[in-house]
This record gives sequence, C-alpha cells and structure tokens, in this order.
Amino acid sequence: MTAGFDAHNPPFDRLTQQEIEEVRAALDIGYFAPGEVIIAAGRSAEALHVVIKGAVEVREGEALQDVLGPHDSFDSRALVHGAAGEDFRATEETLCFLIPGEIVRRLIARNGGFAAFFYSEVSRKLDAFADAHRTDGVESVLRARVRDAARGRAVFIDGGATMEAAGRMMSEADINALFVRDGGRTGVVTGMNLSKAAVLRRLPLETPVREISHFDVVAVDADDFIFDALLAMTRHDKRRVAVRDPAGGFAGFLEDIDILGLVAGNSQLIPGRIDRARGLEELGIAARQIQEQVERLHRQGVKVEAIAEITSDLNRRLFVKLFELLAPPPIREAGCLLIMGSEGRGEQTVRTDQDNGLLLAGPVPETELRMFREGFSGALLGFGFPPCPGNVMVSNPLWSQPVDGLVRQLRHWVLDRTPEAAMNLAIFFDAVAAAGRPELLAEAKGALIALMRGEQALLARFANLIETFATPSLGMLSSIMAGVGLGAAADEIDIKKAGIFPIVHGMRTMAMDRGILATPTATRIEALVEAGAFEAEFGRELISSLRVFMAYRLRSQLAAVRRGDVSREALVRPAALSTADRDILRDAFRIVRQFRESFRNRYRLGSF
Amino acid sequence: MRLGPGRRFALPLAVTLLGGAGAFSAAWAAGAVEGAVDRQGLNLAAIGMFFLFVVGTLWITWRAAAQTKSAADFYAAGGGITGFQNGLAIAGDYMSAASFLGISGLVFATGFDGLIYSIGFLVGWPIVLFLVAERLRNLGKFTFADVASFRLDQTRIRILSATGTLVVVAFYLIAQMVGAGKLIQLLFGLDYLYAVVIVGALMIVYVAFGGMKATTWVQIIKACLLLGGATFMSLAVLWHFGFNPEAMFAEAVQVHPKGDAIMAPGGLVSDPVSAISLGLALMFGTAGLPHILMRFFTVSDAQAARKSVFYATGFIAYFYILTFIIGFGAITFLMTDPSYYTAGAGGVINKVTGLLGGTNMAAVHLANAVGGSLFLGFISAVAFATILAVVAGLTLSGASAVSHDLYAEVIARGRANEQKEVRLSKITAVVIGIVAIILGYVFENQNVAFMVGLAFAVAASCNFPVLLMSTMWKGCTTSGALVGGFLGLVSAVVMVVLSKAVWVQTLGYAQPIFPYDNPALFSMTIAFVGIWLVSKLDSTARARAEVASFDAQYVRSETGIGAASAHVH
Repeated sequence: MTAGFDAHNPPFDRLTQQEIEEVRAALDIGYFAPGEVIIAAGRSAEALHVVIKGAVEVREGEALQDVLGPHDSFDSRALVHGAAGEDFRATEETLCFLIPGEIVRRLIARNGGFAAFFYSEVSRKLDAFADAHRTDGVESVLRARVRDAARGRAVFIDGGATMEAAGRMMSEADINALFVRDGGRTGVVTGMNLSKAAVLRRLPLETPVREISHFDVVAVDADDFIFDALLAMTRHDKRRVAVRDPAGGFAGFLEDIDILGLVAGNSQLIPGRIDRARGLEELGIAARQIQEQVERLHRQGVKVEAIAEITSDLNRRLFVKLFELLAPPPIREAGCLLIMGSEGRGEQTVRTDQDNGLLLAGPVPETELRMFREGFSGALLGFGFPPCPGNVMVSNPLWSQPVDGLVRQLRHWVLDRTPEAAMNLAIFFDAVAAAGRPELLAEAKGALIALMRGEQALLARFANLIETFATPSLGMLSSIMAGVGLGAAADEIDIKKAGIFPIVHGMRTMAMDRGILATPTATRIEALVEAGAFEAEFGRELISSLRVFMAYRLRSQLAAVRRGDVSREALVRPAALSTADRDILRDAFRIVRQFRESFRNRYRLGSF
Repeated sequence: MRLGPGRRFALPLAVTLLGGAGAFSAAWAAGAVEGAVDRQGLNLAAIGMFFLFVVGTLWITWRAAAQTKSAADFYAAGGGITGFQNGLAIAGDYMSAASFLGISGLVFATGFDGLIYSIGFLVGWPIVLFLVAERLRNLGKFTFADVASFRLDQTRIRILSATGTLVVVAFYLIAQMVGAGKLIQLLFGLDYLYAVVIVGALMIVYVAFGGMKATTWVQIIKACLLLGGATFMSLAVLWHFGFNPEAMFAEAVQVHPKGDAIMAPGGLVSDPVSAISLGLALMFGTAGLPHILMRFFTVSDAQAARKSVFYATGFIAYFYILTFIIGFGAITFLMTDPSYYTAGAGGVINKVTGLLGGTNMAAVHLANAVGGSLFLGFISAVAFATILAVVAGLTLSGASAVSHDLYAEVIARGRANEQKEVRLSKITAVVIGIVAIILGYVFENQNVAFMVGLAFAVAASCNFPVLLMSTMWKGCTTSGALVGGFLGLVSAVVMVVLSKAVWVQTLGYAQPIFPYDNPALFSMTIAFVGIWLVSKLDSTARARAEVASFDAQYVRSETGIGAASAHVH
C-alpha cells in the first residue's frame, strides 16, 4: 500500500534512502469524503497530508485561496507552528498519505535540505498570504490616509456667536462640530457640547459659544495614517479629531464613524453626500465613492445581487442630482431622464459603460438642449463612467429627442431588422425613468410593445440576437473533444457573452413578447414563471445561474480594475479555477444551454 | 430472410452505428461464402471515401451551425446574410438529395417524362413567391398555421395544420428514407431492412443530440455540395460526348429499351390526368411545405428577399437541368454495361428495373462509371449527408407541429411551459423516426421523386388551399377552412392509398381502385370547394366577424402595416 508513495515528489526527493524507508514504514492513508474539513484553521495537525487522489480546497473564511491536487502536501504550518492558517476541505473524495508529525519534525531536525524546503515553503505561503490581504480588511484601513476618510467640512464660527447660531450653522452644514475662532486661538464646539449646555447646565441660548467650547484641539494631519488618528482618539478619549491640512489650517473633522465607514463600507453615507453636493466637483467625489464601495462590499462578502442593487440605487441618485444640477428649467419641465441597459436593469456593478438618454414632451430651445447634452455626458465622463460604445448617451441627439421622434425611431428600428437595430431596441427596452416625467417613457415603451407583441417574425429577429455568442460547455465530453482538436478549447470564457447576455436577452425578449414591463432580469424571470412560461424550479435555476455569472464577472472585473486594463474584464480562465468553482460554472452554463434550446425552439431560431 | 449464421452474427456488429469499414468487411466476408447473387463485392475505396466525406460534411456543417459571430461585440453584431448567400440557402433547402436521385432515376427509366418533375419543381417556386411569400412577410408570420390564425380561430386551425404537416412530413420522409436506405444497401451490401434501420437510428441520434440546425450556412454548404457534385457528373458525361448533347441523346435512344419513346412525352399523352395532377401538386405543394417559408425571413429586408429569390431560381433551374443530363448519361453509360444489373428470372436482364438497387440508384452508378470508386464514394457521401440534413429538418418541423401547434397552442392554450415543449418535441422526433423507418421499409421499391410528388400532393390539397383562401378570399371562415382542409387532406391520402403505387405495388392487390398516379387534381378541387361551400353555409356570428376582419388582414398582407392579428373573440 505504501509502495505508491512517490519519493521523487518534493520535498521528499531530498531525503536519503534510509529516511524514505522510515517515512514509508510510518505511512498511513486517510480517506476524506467530499466536503469534509481535513484541517480547520487555527488547529494543529497530527500528520503531514500528501494528496494521492482527489482535490483539497484551501479556504480562508469563505474566500478560496488555492486548490491542492495529487502530490501536494499540507499543512506545514499546522504541523510546525501548531496552527493551520486556513481551512483545508476535501472537494471530492480524497485520499491522502498521512506522515506522522513526529517523523516530519525529526526529519526537519536531521535533514537540512528537507528543512529548508519546508521552511521556505511556509514563508513563501505566508508572504503570498500577506500580499493577498495587504489591501484587505482592517489592515488596509489602518494604512489608509486620514484624507481618504474625513468627511465633515471645516466650518468656522466666531467665539462671540450665540449657542443658537452655532446650532443653526451645524444643522445647515449637516455637521456635528464647528471650529470656533476666538481671538488668536481656535477651538471646537460640538453638537453634544450644545446639548449638554442647554439641557444639563440650562444655559440660555444667547450664551456665547466660546463659553462651552474647548480649545485643547486634538488634531491630526490629513496625510497621517488612520492608524495615527485612532491612536490620538484613544489617547485623548475623543470620538472626533480635527484634521489639519498641509498649509496648517483646519480642513475638517475625522469621526470614529468615518473610520468605521472605511471598514464596513460607507454606502449609507453616499446618498447624503450626493444630496448635499453643490457642484460637479462634490458630486464627482460621491461618484468615485460609489465605485470604491463596490470593491469594499465585495470584499466583505456581500452578495453580488445586493451589491448591484446598492450600486444601481446610488448611481440613480447620482444621475438625478446631476440632472437637477445641469438641466435648465425648460428641460427639467419637459424632460424625462432615461437610464438604460444594465444600469436600467439594476445589474451594473463595476462601471463598464453608460447607457442613458433624454425624452422630451415637446421641442425645447436648441441651445439649451445642446449645452445640456454636452454638459451631462461630459460630467459623467469626468465621473469615470466610460462612454457607451454604441453611443447610447444623452449627448447623442438620437437619444435625446421628443418622445414622438423616438417612437418614430423605434418603429424604424423594429422594421430595420438588423442586429444593430435590435441591440438599440434591447437597450431601450431596459430603460427606467430616473428623473423628470415618467409618463413619457411609459408612452414610448407602450408604443414599442404595441409594435412587437404578437409579431412573430419581428420577435424572432429580435430574439436571434441571442445567437450572437455561443455558450461553451465545461463538461467532460467537450474537454475531451477539445483535447483532440474538435471544438474550441475554452481556455478563456467571456462570462458576459457566454452566460449573462443569453439570460438577459432571452428574458428581455420573452418579457417584450408578453408585455412585462419590469426591467431587472430576476423580476422578469419571476413574472415569466408567474405567466407559466417556465416551471418555478427552472426559473429559480435561471436566477441563480445569472447570479453565479455576475459574481464571477465581478470578481474578474475587480481584478481587471486592479490590473488597470478593463478591456478583458469579463474573461474567466477555467483552468485557473478550482474544481468547485468549475463545477458551479459548468452547472450554470448547463442551465443557460438548456434555456437557449427552449428559446431557440420557441422563436424558431434554427432557420436563421 | 436469407441470412446465414455468420451474417446474423455480423450484422448487429455493423449496425452499431457504422462502426468503421472493418465491421462491414467482416459482414461481407461472411456473406461472400454464401455467394448472394444480388450483391456486389464491397468497394472499399468507395466506402473509405464515403466515410471521409460524410464525416467531413457533418463536421463542416456542425461547425457552420455552431458558428456564432464570436468576434462580434454587442454593438456591432453586424454581418447579415446577403441576397446571394440567401439564394444559395433557399436552393439548398429546396434541392434535396432525394430529388437528385429520384429525378435522375425517372429520366433513366422513362426519358423525357422525368422532365415533368424537374419543370414542376421549378415552376412551383415562382408560385410560392407571387402568391404567398410577400404576403407572409407582410403579415410577419412564419408558417401557414400562423397566417391562417390571423383572423380565424387558432385552436381549430392549428389542429388542422399540425395534422397536415405531420402527413406531409411523413410522405416526404419516406422519400428520404428510401433514398438513403438504398444508398447504404448498395454501398455496404447490407440487407435493405438493416440499411433503413441504420439510417433511421442515425437520424434519431442526430436529432436527439441537437443535430443539425437548418441554419442558413448549413443550407449553403448543402447547396454547394449538391451543385458541385452534379456539375462534375454532368461535365464528365458531356465530355464523353464531346460536349455534344445531341450525340448523347442519340446514343440514349439507341440503348434504351423504349427507343425513340424516351424523347417524347409518353406518359403525358397516355395519361394526361395523372400528368396534370402531378404538375398541380408540384406547383402548389411548395407553398404548403413546412420548412420552406421560413427562409424568407432570414434576410433583413424585402429587397434582399427578392434578390435571393432571383438567385435561388437560377440555382434551382440549373440543378434540375443537371439531373436531366445525369439521367440521360446514366442511360448511355449504364445500359451498355451488364455489371450494373442483376439478372431476373431466366438470366434476362431488364435494362430498367434490373438496375442494382433499383432506378433510384442510377445517379450513384453513374458516378462510379464516370469517376470510379472514389467519385462513387464522394457522391454517395454528399447524397447521404444532405439526406440526413433534410431528414433532421423535416423531423424538427414535425416535432414542432406537435409540440408548438398541438400542445402549446391547443392543449395548453398558450400557457405552455417551454421545458415541456422541448421535451415533447424530442419525444415526437423519436416517434417520427420510428415511423419513418417502418414507412421507409414498406415503400422500398418506390421511386423517391414519385414519393416526393405525393408529399407535394398532400401539401397542395390541405395546407395550400387554406393558406390561399384565408389570405385572398374575404368569405373564408374557420369552419370552412377546417372542413375543406380536412377533406383535402383525407381525400389526398385515401386516393394515394387506393392508387397503383400503394394499393398494387405495396399492398399487393391486383387492380388499383383510384386509377391515377397522383391525386392532386381531385383532392385540391375537393378542398377548395369544401372551403367555399362550408364558408358560404356558415352563418354564425363568429363567421360574420371573421369575414368583417378580413379587411384589416388584407391591408396588412399587402402593405405590412397594421396590427399583429385580427382575432375574433
């Protein structure tokens, strides 16, 4: 039984023949059922495991770190340091050689080469581990700069002003503390100071604010680490410290909640920031924060559909605010701001493009319209929304016109029957009204549905867009076929094209067919199940497949953003995935293929 | 069954899905000992070529069907089908290998009379175009059932259309099964029954595995293969006669047992009713075929659709001229060489019916005569692969008639669930495959072009009258269409069964009860009269409402403007 132990497998190749025999004599074999935790994080291990057959996932919490296969050994840390760094869990039926820890430790002590490999392995792993986490969690927060977290603006009040004036000023600026200028010194008065003075000390509201301020201001520099700020807060028992800008003046405050926001994400703070924004610059900050919180939420393990929902909600607020800021009164009165495409469906996480438009009840002054078109799209570009490759933007006169003009345009696209026209219809069908008069969108959408409902030939042509991209199979058979040169070896899969788009477009077509107005794909699926188009079980499978794809895509998008090259944002390499991940993807693709078959059947796409 | 023990053992081996030439040569080795008189020695070169090309063709078409514009992106899906490409695709849809084998076989047997099929198929084409295609495009409907339900009651119409479609598909499948079965029988020296079972099993496997879609590219490839093979054969024949057709005809008259008669319309004069009936079936049947009408929707605009029809007509005409040349070439090449024949009783060779594998195989033998074993293998492979494609397409049409028309629209009343629909269509495909095997076996000795003629007759008697009357005649009502359509369908099928081909040749009775070969002239009349009469007699409120809604449909069918349906509720 132990003859199968491969002595050429590092690090055992460094052992002498005699030592090998010693190992072989002590070998045992362990069997682990799928899902069984072999070594739990933090626990020590009695033996060194060497995988014979099967696969072992290395997980840190829920995050997958590595997958071990035959010849890999684990876990040296559990053995040497007495505490495993990660969970080791069998994903398949797994067999391992078990080398008693006693022997391994003896070999380490005796054989330098073996020990070196062993320790270098451990340190290499630790390094990789630390690297992966450097940008993560609490550590990254402590290494962040104060300026990245500080939120409250610096507002100054004269020391002679009344408590009442101070209270009003705080309320107007929506902050909890003011800087107090009193002669040559600067102090701070907080909302709590005000309350205590009024409630506990029963001071009249006319009391000068200097009476209740404190002038021993604890301050940190904007360039300091959060770590320093935390130290200062702890040392002085403060929940708020002042922030000094490089010029020496006060720039604002840093509160403990701001630091919490860095850790937990501060999506709940962004709406307020958007509402308060008084110009493009402040709105731009909020726009950047929306994007930053995507990664943060993802890191905290928030589910992708929740991330998409939060992000869409924030983006919509941003659009509305931008519209309010830029639209001149005639446009604001006659217009309806449309958000379309993935943004309209509420499925965009990392920004890949922008699809938006403007519907007007009637003609508006040309110069104002032109300025708004340029201003709006320009501002979004400045906020980091990449331009739409199909030019579906407010800046395109086609997408910002009176409603009857757009309805004419829609009819034209319906009859045009080209893939480009179908794509435009698809984008428009996902539109939601973000600001202005929603009845304009309802009118245009009603016209589109009236044009398409029951029109088999037109719907088929629209449906046929689904055939633009193939859905690969990650099954055994196709990898064998690919191995002998039949079919494309899927070494890279575009998740968006192969998985997301077929589901999204399929549901869009069927929703149009049945006059379902909801835009989010999951809602459409539910409505279609309701209408009897799918069995409830299949509907659920479709929704979870879509979420699987969105999750993998988000992961690869964030990696792409870190790489700084978003052109290949949706590519996933199956070879780089763990067995478990590949299984999940394979199942999701199977659902998509199954759906595509019935879709093809329904809309007779076989003939195109 | 004259099977020796060796053969009994070897055949199941061979049946295991054309498991390589080795199995077949083993089968043959066993058979050779018995010295079967009606089988030729196995032509290994031809078989090798056959496998090479069948696999090659299937691979190319599979690639073409799977090909999606993967390089394309969301905003530039681009690259539509041009009129020329679509023309080729229409031609590919229309020219089946069965008509290639069948028409050349008919010309081989009767000379000039075979031409009526060529002409009929070709003439059917503009009929589709002028009477139906443009209206269908304007109405935005794919199938005749969808068109007829524009203003008529769709539940009843779909029961009719699904039945009609299934019958047409069955007849059409017989032709393909016989063609492919004969081909396999001839090439591998198998018993006909086994050949048909293999073809049927392959077809079921093929459809069940998602098989070939009738995509535009698949049809284009099919058209190119058929046109290429037929062109080569015709050139080889003409080259033999120094590109002088007159010399070819002269020699054909000399060697054919009917002599001068092959250059004159014999059957047309002696039995004009059958001839006219066949002509009508071929001309109007096309419009009732389930898989042809779709093709008009695959190009993006009306102009491209018209252009594609122009090209398609050219290709189809060219193809049928070739089958004519091939038929005459077969007369001159094969009738002079006894090695293509089996001797009948008393060692007498019948120069027409004595051909190995029957007259359907004339073109295949000719391939051997002009191009040797390799070309034989090539032509067989092209014929076989394209038959498989047609069979798959037809089976899918039939399956969709059951799953979509009957189940989804009639039984589930539009609340069908898509998965069930797919499942049902797969089950139907298997059932159709089994039925095709049985029918293919029963109709072994029929000319395949003749069987296609019958399929067209059924289509012309059921689907076409309903389609035409509901779009062109204001007074047409649901009851009229239903009764007339079923009368046409039933009368066509009954007359076919009572005619010589089935009653005498297949069922073995002495005299046919229905005296003509093709029923279309009578069954079409019955259908049209039935529709007219019942519609006239129909005085229900529903009928009046249907008549009233004709105008909306008419405007839409002429202009493309208007609502998607004028349902009477």
